[in-house]
Amino acid sequence: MKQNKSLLLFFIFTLFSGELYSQVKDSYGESYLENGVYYSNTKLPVGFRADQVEALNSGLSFEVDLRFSIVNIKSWRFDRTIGEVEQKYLVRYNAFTRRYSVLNSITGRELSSSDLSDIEIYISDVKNLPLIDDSLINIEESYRVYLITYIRAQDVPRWMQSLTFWRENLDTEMEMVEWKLFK
Amino acid sequence: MEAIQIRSNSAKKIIFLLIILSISSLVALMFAADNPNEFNRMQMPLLIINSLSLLVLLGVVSLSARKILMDYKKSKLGARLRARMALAFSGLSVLPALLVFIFATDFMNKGLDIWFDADVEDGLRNALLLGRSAMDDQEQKRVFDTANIALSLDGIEDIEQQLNQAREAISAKQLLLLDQNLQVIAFSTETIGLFAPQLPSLLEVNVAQSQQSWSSLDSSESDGYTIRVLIPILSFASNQTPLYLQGIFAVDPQLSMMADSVEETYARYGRLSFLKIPIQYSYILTLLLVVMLALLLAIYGSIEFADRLVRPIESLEKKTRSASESNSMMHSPQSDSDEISSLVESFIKAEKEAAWSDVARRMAHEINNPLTPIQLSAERIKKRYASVFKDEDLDFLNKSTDTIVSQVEVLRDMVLEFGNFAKQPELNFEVFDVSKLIDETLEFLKRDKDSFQVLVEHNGNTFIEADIKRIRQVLNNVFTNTIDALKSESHPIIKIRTKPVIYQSNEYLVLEVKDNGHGFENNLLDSVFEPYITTKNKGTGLGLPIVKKIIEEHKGLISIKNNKEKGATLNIFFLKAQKNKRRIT
Repeated sequence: MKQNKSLLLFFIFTLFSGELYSQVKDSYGESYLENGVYYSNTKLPVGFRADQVEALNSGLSFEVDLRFSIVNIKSWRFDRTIGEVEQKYLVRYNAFTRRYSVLNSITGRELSSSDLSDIEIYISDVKNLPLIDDSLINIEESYRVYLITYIRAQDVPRWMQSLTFWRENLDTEMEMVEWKLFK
Repeated sequence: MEAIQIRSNSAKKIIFLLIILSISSLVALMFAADNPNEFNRMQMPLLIINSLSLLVLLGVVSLSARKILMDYKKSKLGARLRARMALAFSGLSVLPALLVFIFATDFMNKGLDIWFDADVEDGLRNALLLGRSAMDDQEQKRVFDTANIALSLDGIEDIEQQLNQAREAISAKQLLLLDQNLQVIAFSTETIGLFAPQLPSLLEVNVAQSQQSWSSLDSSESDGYTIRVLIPILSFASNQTPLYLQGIFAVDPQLSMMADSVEETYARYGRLSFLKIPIQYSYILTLLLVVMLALLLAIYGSIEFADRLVRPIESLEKKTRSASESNSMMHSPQSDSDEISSLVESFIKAEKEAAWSDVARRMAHEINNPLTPIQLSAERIKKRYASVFKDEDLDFLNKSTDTIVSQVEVLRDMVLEFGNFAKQPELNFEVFDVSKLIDETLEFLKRDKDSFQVLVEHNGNTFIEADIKRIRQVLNNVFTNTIDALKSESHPIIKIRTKPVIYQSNEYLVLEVKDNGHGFENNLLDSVFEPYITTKNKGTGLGLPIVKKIIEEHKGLISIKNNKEKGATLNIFFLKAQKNKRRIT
């Protein structure tokens, strides 16, 4: 009986604890202040599904979109988004070189590898990304950073996706990761 | 009887607008298909509009079909005919639409299969392999060049100078010396200014260590195709730590361009191949939507058409039943403008006129017979008792018998009118100048009536071929009616005009009689030529019906309308006399 209660408590805790969920999912995010700017380091479980890899190898390119939102958390009112940052990567496969390439659409940096997991690791690990200027932050208040990651197949028209709605979608929206901007 | 549930004008307007909108969106979809970007942008909104139209039409058609079915089950009047016609017309449209859909889908699928022919795929793959083999040759050559440089390097001193000379000698983009921890020891590059060395990965270094070389063909947005080679240097390794020489070489621009083209085509083909089934489904669904929309439009049109066709027939049957039940033939049927409606209207009118003629003839006969004995009896009573009664009694006798005699005269006039309406006289046609007859009639009436102003205008040839006595009766009735309508006017004016016109290839002389009287009530306008319709207190209601009857006997036309400002205008079209006919002047 006692064991059952413990299990139930653990189940409830697991359901409602976002932090634990992120850990289980191997997601991680933190922020730090340096020279008046908040930066972030994140680690995400970015990975392509088998059908996405098949599509990639067939010639379709994929966009990986990382959207960071800095939200002012209010106790009794609506939360307010005070800043947003976006990182976009374009992943494609070159049948000629037999290599996967990833292009950071914001910085223009490009990387290629014959192994797709190298690309996944590169996208998963975002380091020292400037988030928001310190002058916009009130230290007395509470802020959280939310990160949503989308993987979207390019070259598939929206109308075609809508008309074949019953088929599996090549797009993915990953579990949201969130953390406090500062402790 | 209503076949379609949605009858209100606003609902019909909405359906009509949706039909127009969906047809327009289909046309827009067709044009947008020529431009892929435009097609991508417009496809969804257009599909949404068409889907909405489809749903609305489906609802309307379902409601209509349900109503037809229910009426059919209840054996309502005309339901059987309507159901049959709607089914026949719909059937005529369903079969071709289904055939078009089946054949179009089949052709489209076959077309797509030809598009993704296996031979094309093999050809493209072979082109890719051929290009790669050409690249492999270049790659091997660059491995050989880099290995030679690695062997020729003479110690770590002046290493940058050595690398510069070597890079220029083998036309490399970049030469890089690094240790196994990927720390750059020296480099040489053709790039001027800031330089961010492109480092190998640890895996690549490990492969180079184990296999004595590593090479790769690479491509980037900025540099195009490049060959990267990594060779371990064992000759002057410090502290037993191996060093590595990385060389980066640009691929021949022409080869690079061709490789790019082959790769792009292969990728495009691969994309389409991967999306073949979604493309197929999307096109079939779009086609299905278009066909369904066209089909529903056709079915809706069929039901509407059947309804319009059947409605006058129903009306006729309804009127006939109604006439037999409550003698309500006085009302005219609804005024649709198609042939069947006109036919029904004419039929009802003809029945009405025949019925009225029959009634009038019987009444004239039945009433006329006892009138003479009544009048004679009254006169005899007066004569016999005039010497018997005195003073008040005599006065009472005179008044009573005079009333009987005068009312008998009124009844006789009425009987005469009925007789005129009912009889089918033989017409005595002759050519005469109707303008003179008009003037004579007016002159006679002016002497008899109160003063009113008459403006007469005759234009052109005013000779007609008609029975002069009957036309005189027409003019007399028309002018008397007009003068009666002006009794309450302070400045009564009658404008009379004759003019020749050609109408439906016939030459007519039009007599226009316009007054400034009280006109007709709008609800009476359609029935002023029907018997017993009158606005006068003492009228028989036979004046204008007789006029119409005589005009129709002369193959003429008659119409009446209220003036915009005041009063009414009556137009009579007399057939003009043929030129070779003898004229009475």
